[in-house]
Amino acid sequence: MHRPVPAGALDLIALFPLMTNSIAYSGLKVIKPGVLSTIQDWGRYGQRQNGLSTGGPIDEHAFLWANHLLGNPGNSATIEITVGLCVFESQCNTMISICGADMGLTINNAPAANWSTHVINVGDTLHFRSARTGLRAYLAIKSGFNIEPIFGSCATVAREQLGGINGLPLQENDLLPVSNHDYSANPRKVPYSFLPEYNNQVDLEFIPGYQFNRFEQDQQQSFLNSIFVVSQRMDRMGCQLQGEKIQYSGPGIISEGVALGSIQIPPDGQPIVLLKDAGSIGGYPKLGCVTRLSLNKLAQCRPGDKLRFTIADYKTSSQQLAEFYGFFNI
Amino acid sequence: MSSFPKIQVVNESNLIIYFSDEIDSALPPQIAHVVNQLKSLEDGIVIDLTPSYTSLLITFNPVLISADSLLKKVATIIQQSEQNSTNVNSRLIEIPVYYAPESGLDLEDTATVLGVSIEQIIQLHCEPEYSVFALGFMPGFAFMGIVDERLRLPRLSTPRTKVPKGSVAITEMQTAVYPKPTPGGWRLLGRSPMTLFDPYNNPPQPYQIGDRVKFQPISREQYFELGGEL
Repeated sequence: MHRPVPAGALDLIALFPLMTNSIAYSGLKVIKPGVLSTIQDWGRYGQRQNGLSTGGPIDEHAFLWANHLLGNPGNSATIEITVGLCVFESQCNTMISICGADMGLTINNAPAANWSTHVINVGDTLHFRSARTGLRAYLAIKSGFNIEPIFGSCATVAREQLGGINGLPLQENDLLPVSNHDYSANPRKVPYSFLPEYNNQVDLEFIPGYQFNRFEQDQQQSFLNSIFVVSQRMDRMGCQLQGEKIQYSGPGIISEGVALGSIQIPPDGQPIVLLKDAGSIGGYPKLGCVTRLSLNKLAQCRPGDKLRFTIADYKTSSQQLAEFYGFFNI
Repeated sequence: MSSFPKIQVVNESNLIIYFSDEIDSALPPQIAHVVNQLKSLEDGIVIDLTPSYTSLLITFNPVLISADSLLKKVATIIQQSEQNSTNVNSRLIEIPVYYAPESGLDLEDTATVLGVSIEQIIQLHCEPEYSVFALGFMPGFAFMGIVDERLRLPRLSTPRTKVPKGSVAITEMQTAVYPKPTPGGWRLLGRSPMTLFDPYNNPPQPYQIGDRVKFQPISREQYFELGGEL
């Protein structure tokens, strides 16, 4: 796999050798990738029948706002920063936005507000500390990062070695090109009323489904009445919870397609909520799915945070989701 | 009367069709047919399709259609496909395999456990035509079956930390080829030089759900000629 050069860029390099830096390659340079930073666009859709995961932003809410503030299409490539501790250097004059967990971003050591756009110039240093609340932040750039798509998406799914640059999370010295530096957009920030609070006690809505009715009633009740704790075993594939052991004594499960947000109950009885990089099929019994809007809350939960599940109705949740996507034109 | 196929709402953007509650080689072609029919629905309604052994998960765009409306459309498609299920064309894909103790790391052990010769194991494995039941686990990995009853063994008690690329493996009634090195607990009988995942091809793997697969024994020389490595 190679780094992309926009069509026509080679001709321009020949004609205007001094301009190449600002035309073909300039964007952001990764100085320190931090704990885990990955390129994510909306995701790799239409490939699950080939056994591939979807990828894409774990927190769709923060991701969509980051692109929306810049007037980018909702599927533009961003950097998903998990935990933080990363540093980037700008190689162009452009506009960025930052949404999600507050990682105390500074630009050249000056504090830069979260949920806002910022103008950056050649040589500027963007420094993310570790998340104060929440877990994941999205760094979007005007017109999106210009990363070569694979199966229509540049979403990084590290397990499959697909997307991003060479199928990997960001590495030191990676160059993330941007093809369009026009940033006539006005500075913007997310209206106060849309700002989420990232709490350490979260109620998650879920839609009962799959094998829910094959769990004994006392196990269903136990799931609904328990408070679960987010464990250390959490990544882009899933989030394992600790709490009351949920038992499944129904018939064996034949592996089947697992939807985003599926609540799997493995033999140890500790639920796993499946996220964007989960495998496309699985054979554990499932109680149902966390709603997409609640998954955005789970995306910002940290180990030790407390969770409770409440039942949602798919019709209401569908309407809410359609409104949410409709707002962002997704 | 059979209660299958049945369609259930999974969540805001997914339905699942269950075609049976038992694995059967007759199902993958039927499911593949429904997959093709669903692809012909209006643009953008169906976002993703995840077929598996006995089911098909349909991921749809909730902005364009409600779960209930799609459920009705899907029910019609299933009804029609049941009437036309005879004209499903499934392909036969041949996968070359070098069966030997040096390529199939569990071949000798499997022969010992089963009390048969290596030659018999090779014959039992390469004779049947297998159905592709599901794709998943890793890019290019196909769950195939049904393995001859005389070859059925459980997974290794301790999974390997690294299964070599191209390893042809069995467990219980299933068989598969590992497209890349990975940890795995299936029993390895041989190795194939075939490329099973090419991200620059669409589809990226040689097989789809509903296709049939036959393993073709090859010699050590042929294995190397075809690009195999040990």
